[in-house]
Amino acid sequence: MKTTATTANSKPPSAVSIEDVEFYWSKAVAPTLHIKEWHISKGQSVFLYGRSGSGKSTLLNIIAGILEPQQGVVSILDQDITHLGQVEKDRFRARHMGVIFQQFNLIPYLSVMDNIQLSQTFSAANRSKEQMVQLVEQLGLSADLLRRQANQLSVGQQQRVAVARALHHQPEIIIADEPTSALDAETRDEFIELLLQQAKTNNSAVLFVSHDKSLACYFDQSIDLQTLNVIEPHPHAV
Amino acid sequence: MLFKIAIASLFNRKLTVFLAIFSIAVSIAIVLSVEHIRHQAKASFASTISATDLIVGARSGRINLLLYSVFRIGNATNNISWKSYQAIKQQREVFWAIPISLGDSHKGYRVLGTINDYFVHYRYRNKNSLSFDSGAEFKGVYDVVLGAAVAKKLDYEVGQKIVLAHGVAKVSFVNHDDKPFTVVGILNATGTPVDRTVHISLAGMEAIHLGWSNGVPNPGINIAAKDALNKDLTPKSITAVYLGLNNRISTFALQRRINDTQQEALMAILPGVVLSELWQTMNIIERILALIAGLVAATSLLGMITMMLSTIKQREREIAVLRAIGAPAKFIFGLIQLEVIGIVLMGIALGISFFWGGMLISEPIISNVYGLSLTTNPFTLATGLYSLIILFVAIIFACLPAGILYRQSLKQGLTVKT
Repeated sequence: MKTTATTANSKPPSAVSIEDVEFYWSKAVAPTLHIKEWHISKGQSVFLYGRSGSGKSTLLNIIAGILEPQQGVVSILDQDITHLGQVEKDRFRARHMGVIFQQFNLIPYLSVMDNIQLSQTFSAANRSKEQMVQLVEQLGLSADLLRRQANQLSVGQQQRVAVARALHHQPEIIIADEPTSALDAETRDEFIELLLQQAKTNNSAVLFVSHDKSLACYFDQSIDLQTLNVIEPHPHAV
Repeated sequence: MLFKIAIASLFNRKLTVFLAIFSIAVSIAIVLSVEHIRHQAKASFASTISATDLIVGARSGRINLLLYSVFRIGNATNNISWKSYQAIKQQREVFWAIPISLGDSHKGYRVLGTINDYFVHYRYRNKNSLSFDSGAEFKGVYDVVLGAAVAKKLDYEVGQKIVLAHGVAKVSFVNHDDKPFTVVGILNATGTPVDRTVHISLAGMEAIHLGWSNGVPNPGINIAAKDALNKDLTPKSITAVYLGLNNRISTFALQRRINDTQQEALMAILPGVVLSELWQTMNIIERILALIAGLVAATSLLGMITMMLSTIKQREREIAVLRAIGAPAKFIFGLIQLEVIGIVLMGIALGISFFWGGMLISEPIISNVYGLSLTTNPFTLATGLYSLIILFVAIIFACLPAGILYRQSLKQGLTVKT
C-alpha cells in the first residue's frame, strides 16, 4: 500500500485521495462500492456522473467521513481519515468541507445569517460579518436577506445561501450532491457558474455529483462513477 | 449556538410547545398542591388538640373516643359517672380535669357542655389557647359560647337568644325550646372542631334535661327555666374528661390506673398517639392522592415526549444538515435534550406560579374561614425536590427521541430522504 506522503510528492497537492476502498452494507451482500484509485487535486472542480443506485451517496458519505469503508485508505488533504474517531471526523468535516444538498440545506427556523454562521461555529473559523455580507452579495443575494428566516426564501435563494454556508468557513473541499435538481435550467446554469467562481476565488476543490450529464461541461474534469467503481451496481441498491 | 438553535426550534413550534409547557405546568401545580394540602392537613390534624395529656371516656374503641371527644364525630357508647370524674380529679398527678358532655345540637352544630376551665386549659396547635372574639365565658346557667364558624355561619351576635335541640341530627323533633340560651361569648377561629361547637355550661346541660329520662322528656313533668335554677344542677354523668397532668412522666402510670378502674369501665387515651393512629388509617387516601398527582405528572411528560417523537420525521432533514456542517451526533442528542429541558423548566416555572397564585387566592379565605394560617411561600424544599424529580424523569424520557435521532444521525449520513 502506498503511503499518502509519496502520493503527495508524485502528484499535485491532493484534496481527496482514495485507494482501494471497498464498502459494503453487510457482509451477506456483495460490496456496494470498490474503487481502486481516485484523486481530486486541490482547487480542482470535478463532475461525478452517477445514476441513482450507482452508490454515489455512499461514496459521498465515505469522503465526508460519515460512513467508514471496510477496506482501503481515504485521504482528505493528505490525511488518512479512516483512522480518525467519529468526533474527529465530524470536526475534520466541519473544518475542511462544505456540503450542499439537493434541497433543504437550511435549518428552516433559523435566520439566513444564523444558517451561514452554523458552519463557522462548527469549524471554529474566524470570519467577520463583513466577509459574510460580501460573500452573500457576490452570490447575487441582497444583504437584507440575512435577517430573514430561511423558510421564507425561494428555492433558488435557499440554494445560494447553501453555497454561502458551504463557503463561508473557507473549506478546501466542497461536496455538492445534486444541488441543481430543484432549480430550473436558467437558475441552474447561473448557480453552477456562481458556485465554481466562488470556489475558485477560495481555491476550494469541488466535487459535484449529478445524474445530469449535460452539466459536465462546466467542470475541469468529469468522471462516471460506473467506470470508477469496479463493482457492477446492484439493481436495488440506492 | 446549541442554545440558539434549541430556542429557535421551540419558538418555531410555538403552539405545540406552549401546550406542552401548559400541561406540564398544570401537572406541577397539581403535584405541589396535593403535597401542600397533604402536609397542611396532617399538620392541622395533628394539632387539633395539644397540652391535653389524657382523655378519659367510657371503655370503647380508642379511635372512637378520640373522634367523639375531640372531633365531635359519632357518639359515645356510654357515659362516665360524675363520681368517677370526681375520683379522677382527685388523683395527685392531675393538674386540671375538664369534663365534657355531648349529645345535643343546635342547627347541626354539636353542643358541648363543659366548665369555664375549658376556655383556660384547652390548647390547640402550638399550645395556642382559646380567645374570645367578643363577649366572655359563662356566667349564668343559660349562657352559651359559640365557636367562630357557628357564629359566622348562623350570623349570631353576643346577646342573641338561641334554642338547643335534643340529639345530634340536623333536624330534631325534640327541642329544648322551654329553656332558651343567651350568647355570651364568641371565640376566635382556631381551625379546629372548636369552631363548629356550641359551648354551654354543664349546669345548663343538666337544666335542659331535668325531668327527662332515657333521652325523652317525661310526660307531665315540665320544669320551667326559672325553677330549674333552684334545683341541683350537678350532672349525674358526663361524656369524657380532658386531663392535664402536673408532670407528663406520670401519664402512663395514670393511664394504666384509669384503664384498670374496677368501679366503672373507663378508658384513658393519649390524644397525640391516637391522632397519629387515626392519621395512619387515612394513609391510603394520602397515598392515592400522591399517586394520582404522580400519574398526572408522568402523563404530561409522556405527552411532551410524544410531541417530540412526532416531529422526528420532520427533523431528519434538519439533522442531516447539522451533521453535514460537522455537528457531532452528540450535538443532536444535546439539542433534543435541551429542548425538552427548556420545555420542562418553563413548565415548572409556570406551574409554580399557578401554585403560588392559587395559594395567594385561597390563603385569606382559609385563614378567614378556618383560622388556619397556611404558608404561602412556594419556594420550599418540597417544591425544589418535586421540580428536580420531574426534570430528572423528563430527561430520562427525552433519551427516547434524542436517542432515536442520535442513532439516525450516525446511520443516515448526508442523504436527505425526501
